[in-house]
Amino acid sequence: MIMHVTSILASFVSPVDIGTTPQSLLLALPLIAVIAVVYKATKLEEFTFASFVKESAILFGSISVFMILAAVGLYLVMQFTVG
Amino acid sequence: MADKSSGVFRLGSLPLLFLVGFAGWWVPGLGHLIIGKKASAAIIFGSILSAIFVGLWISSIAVIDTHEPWYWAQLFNSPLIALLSYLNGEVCHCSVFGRPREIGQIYTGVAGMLNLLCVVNAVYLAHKMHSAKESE
Repeated sequence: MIMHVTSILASFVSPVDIGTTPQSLLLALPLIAVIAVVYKATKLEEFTFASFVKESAILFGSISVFMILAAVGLYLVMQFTVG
Repeated sequence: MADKSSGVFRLGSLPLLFLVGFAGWWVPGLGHLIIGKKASAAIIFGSILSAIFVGLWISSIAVIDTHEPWYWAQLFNSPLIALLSYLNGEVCHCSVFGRPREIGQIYTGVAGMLNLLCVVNAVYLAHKMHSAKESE
């Protein structure tokens, strides 16, 4: 038991190795999910599981699509200006 | 909707708002729990704590750095963040650089800003409920 607790605590004092790779951008997705869920938890007046999941999923998709469009836009600007 | 005739709603407006805001700052979701929004409280608690723990797991507690502007956003998670900062400075002496540091800062900082949103929302809802009770 103490070994388990120690190993869990030890994982919070040494960073995880994450390279500067395109795949590391996927770490944005859990954070977007948290933002969508917390925002909807503060906004919804009537709380049913189905409506909450639906609203959160729509917000999650909206943020994700907007971020992808922003990335594509920035990429195109860089291509046309810097080359 | 909470039972307005019992519990904390007997408090005056200002102490109630202060209690809800302060509780929501110390423990994410506790402000909503006090005003009777149990589902919102559970979701806020789970989501914000998940973001904090993922951020700390990725970058270690070294990401709680009082010399960084991100620290003020992280502090909105809970005053206990200051304890982590103390532990890192006096006990652990950890350090983190590069991409893990960036991701940890973003996760813990955004979680703090989300908790600030929840605190403001809980105080607003408490004020609304208190006003509705007084107008009855």
